[in-house]
Amino acid sequence: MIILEITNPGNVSLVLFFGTIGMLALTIGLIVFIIFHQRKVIRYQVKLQRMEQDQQKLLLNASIRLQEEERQRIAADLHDDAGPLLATARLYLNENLVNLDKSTQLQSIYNAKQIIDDTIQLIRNISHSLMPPTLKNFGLESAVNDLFQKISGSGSMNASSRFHDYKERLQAENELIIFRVIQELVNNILKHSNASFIHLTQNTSGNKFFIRLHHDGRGITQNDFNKLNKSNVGLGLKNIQSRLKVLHGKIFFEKDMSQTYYKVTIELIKEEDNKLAEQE
Amino acid sequence: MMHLQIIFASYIIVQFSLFSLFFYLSLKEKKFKYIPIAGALVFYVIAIRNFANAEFDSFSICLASIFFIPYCILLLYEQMRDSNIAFVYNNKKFWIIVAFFLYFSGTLFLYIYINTLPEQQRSSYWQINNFFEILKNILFCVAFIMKKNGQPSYLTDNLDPDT
Repeated sequence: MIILEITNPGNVSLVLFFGTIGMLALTIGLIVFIIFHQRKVIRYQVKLQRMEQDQQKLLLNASIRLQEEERQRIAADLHDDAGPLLATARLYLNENLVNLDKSTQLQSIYNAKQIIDDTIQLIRNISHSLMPPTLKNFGLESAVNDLFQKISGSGSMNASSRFHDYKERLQAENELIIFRVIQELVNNILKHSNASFIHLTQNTSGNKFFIRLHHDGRGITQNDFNKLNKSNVGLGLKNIQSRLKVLHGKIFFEKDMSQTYYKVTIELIKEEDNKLAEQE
Repeated sequence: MMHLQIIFASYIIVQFSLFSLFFYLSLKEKKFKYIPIAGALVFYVIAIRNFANAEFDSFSICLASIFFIPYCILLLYEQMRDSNIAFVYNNKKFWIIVAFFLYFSGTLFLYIYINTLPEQQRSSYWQINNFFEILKNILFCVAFIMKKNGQPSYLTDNLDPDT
């Protein structure tokens, strides 16, 4: 009503015309802005999705390659070790059919038995490398302690582990995934870091489950990890990433505050919360 | 003439009530829901007070426009933020909101000045209202012929963001 009072009646049509045009322009401008802004947001989301898909593809390829390598290793073990052993045992047993001398027969049976024992041990080793019996029967803590004892026993490195809060075992398949991740990390440290010690600690905080690895050799930081993850090299790291993805876990590579040690932290959500996250 | 004014005043009240109900039902954020209720209470008090006026009640319809323009902006903002809506223009409600928005912003100045215009000029200026009324109904038609699940109809098939 104030507008009515201050406007000259002669200019009413002009004000009406420009007012209407102005309002219309503002309205159309706002609608166009909303449409274009939303398109921009969608394009950005599509780009993000594509990047995520590419990353998934890399992880999947890495996991397939690892699986193939594992199969090849098992095939090679069976073909190169178990095959000749069994063939030799067969030869000794064949000799029994030809040779009728009692003492020679006994000797060849004894030799065949030795070879079959070796073959059994070999197959047991292959089977243990596929699924460590300590992990299956006694859990992650025992399996990790076992692994670290073996490393320390070799004398090349001092390895120790300490589980602070592991009263209840995780699900068997989750324990296996975590164990494989630890194995891969330890393997990388042994191969590349030239460290003199590895120390592993486990603890929990709220609904989070942490595993930390310290070592004093050459390590990588989170930036290096991200770069390797996006490139075609670093198969083991990609496998760690894809395994942890199954558990909705995270991994952080960093240098210690003192700049002396490298630290790797695996962060997992406890199982009940993990199930909820999966349902969501 | 008096009858016509009463019919028009009633039309404005019914229109305001239905539009307010539409906004109330369309708003997703609970904290915004009280806005159309409060707006309706204010509007009813003024519209009922001016109901039996002999003159054309432009004040009530101006007030309705002033209420509806921010409502439309609020709804568009909600639609823009809604992650379930892939493209706003594939949504029925978007076209209904745009129809209201264009109609009320286009006719706001007309309703503000209609009573200051001489009687003989009013009908020529009323063409503005007719134009926006037709535009509003066309946009309503676009909304009604769209598929319910938000899939693009033949009218919006070509509006792909990548093209």
